Amino acid sequence: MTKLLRPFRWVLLLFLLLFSCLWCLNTGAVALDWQLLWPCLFDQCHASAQHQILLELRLPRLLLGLVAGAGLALSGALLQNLSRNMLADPYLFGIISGAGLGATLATLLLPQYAIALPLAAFAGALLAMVLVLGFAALGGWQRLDTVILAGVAVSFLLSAVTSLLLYQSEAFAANRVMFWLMGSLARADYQALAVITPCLLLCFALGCLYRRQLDALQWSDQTAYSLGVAVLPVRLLFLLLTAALTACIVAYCGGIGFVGLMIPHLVRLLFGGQTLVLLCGSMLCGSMFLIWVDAGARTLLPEQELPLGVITAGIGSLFFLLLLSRKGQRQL
Amino acid sequence: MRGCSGVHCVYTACKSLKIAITGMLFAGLITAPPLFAEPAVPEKAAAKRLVVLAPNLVELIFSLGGGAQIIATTDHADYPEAARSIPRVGNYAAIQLEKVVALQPDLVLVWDTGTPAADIKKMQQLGLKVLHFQTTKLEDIASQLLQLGALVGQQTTAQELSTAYLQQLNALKSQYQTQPPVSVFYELWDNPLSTISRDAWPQQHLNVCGVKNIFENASAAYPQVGLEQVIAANPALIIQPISENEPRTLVSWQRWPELRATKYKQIIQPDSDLLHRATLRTLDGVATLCREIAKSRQFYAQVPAASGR
Repeated sequence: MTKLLRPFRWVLLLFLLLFSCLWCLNTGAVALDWQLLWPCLFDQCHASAQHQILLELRLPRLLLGLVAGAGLALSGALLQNLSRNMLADPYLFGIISGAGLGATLATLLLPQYAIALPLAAFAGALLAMVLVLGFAALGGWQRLDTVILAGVAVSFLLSAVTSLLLYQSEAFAANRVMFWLMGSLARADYQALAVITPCLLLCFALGCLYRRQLDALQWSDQTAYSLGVAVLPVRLLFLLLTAALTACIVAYCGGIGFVGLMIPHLVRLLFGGQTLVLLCGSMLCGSMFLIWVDAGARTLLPEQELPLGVITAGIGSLFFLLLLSRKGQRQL
Repeated sequence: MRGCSGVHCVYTACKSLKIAITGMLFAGLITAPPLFAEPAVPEKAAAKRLVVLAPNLVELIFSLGGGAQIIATTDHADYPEAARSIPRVGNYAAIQLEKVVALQPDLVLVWDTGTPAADIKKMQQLGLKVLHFQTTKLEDIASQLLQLGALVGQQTTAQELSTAYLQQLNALKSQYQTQPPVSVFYELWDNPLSTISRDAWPQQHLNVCGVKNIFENASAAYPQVGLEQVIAANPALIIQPISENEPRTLVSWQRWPELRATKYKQIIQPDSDLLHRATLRTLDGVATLCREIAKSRQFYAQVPAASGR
């Protein structure tokens, strides 16, 4: 059966994604008729409220979900291949903590400027990345483990600063930052898309261009060297790219964990681990996953929205426990 | 602290302490009077369809007899009883914008520090008319009543209620504010032990009742403090506000028998539902609090030996 479906899997995946988009577009706190969807999208809505709900609330949110999900999964896939560590995650640079610090400063110092929050979060994420990569550079880039451990340390450091600031601030600021960190697509607008999409496309294009080098890196650094791969520049390039992409996503969507960790695993199981396949599959599955999660966030509770991070972390951790238990059984 | 407007802060402080989940129940109870930052609504053209995203505003509008004009609100808008049946469109963490848009309200009333800023911005972008409210002083409730009265077409009732409210407030002030101060510890939360300082909403009540808050000068509005600090300050009275709607654990001060408040059983437990909400019922809570404090003041006046440490 699997063999039979193999040639069609990409078509099937694309079809599923398209279906998911339509379904999620028609799902929300307000029930809309399926028959209204098409004319509203491509012609004219019967009522201005429907027009606003579909085109100004749901559509930007759906598009942001698509690019953010694709971006997080792509970053995760690239980092896992680069590091040969299946637990690598886009947040390993302490990006979330950095963004959290930026968001805290923006919330405390410039609460009247809406643009300050994504900008400060991005700056904070970059600060975290620079610190982590700085440590890695000091160590001569010899071990990727150093990068990961530096990420943990930087993460704690920045979180401590954030906690101190929040403790000294008004109580509401702590809540705002906390909920921001849980992740949401509610701030979706076309500006966010204009920032994230080029980063995503650049990452994907370079990933495709360097697919052979990335494949070689999966074996070992020595093998990659022997095949003529400039290991250090390639690794640095993709570390920077994925960090920048994740920082952009975090700046607009807050912390949405586990997408970058879980989706590449799923894709490897379904499609295999070759770089090109992994990147394409991760983007498609990541997109689909996040828009479904967002649809769930908008509709699971009748009178409120759930933060995305709550759902992704819930699903992601269960997925990993399942994976671990299956591995454990096999070893036995 | 900076930017924290009284009532909201109490609510949020509690929320933060309880890690933002159960504390929210409080929230509905605690809301604030408005500073209509947005342009005026024509006085006589009363709005008919209001989305009110703050429980205290809901309560004030009901006090004015305009509850029927509220078509949606947020979680925790639970007073009066009729408010419980108003459809909900979110909470302090997120507003369901789709529902708000679909309801096509004439006005959306938001609470600046309690309604998510991103959602306020989005509603404005969507062309919804948003009115901002904020509370910092007890007097704000009176001005808020007038604003809301104009909004729901109940100017006369609003004027009467507002005048009566201010009279009651002034009466309380003149009765208690000039009394000899009693040193108090306001136990906002037990774990972590948290209290209030001069910028916190309940400090307004303490000022009316003529007491000396031992942590009045702390840098944070709702600081966490150590037991040692409380013991060192040795307050004459400990205030443990409690809520029927949201039970909580309290510090067992009996473990510290050397404390004056423990030794002379000067521990009171006022109703936080009244004290921490900015509504017409707030002064009822303040009046009860002042009476309890006056009893304590009287006790220490009658037992001079107890007044020393």
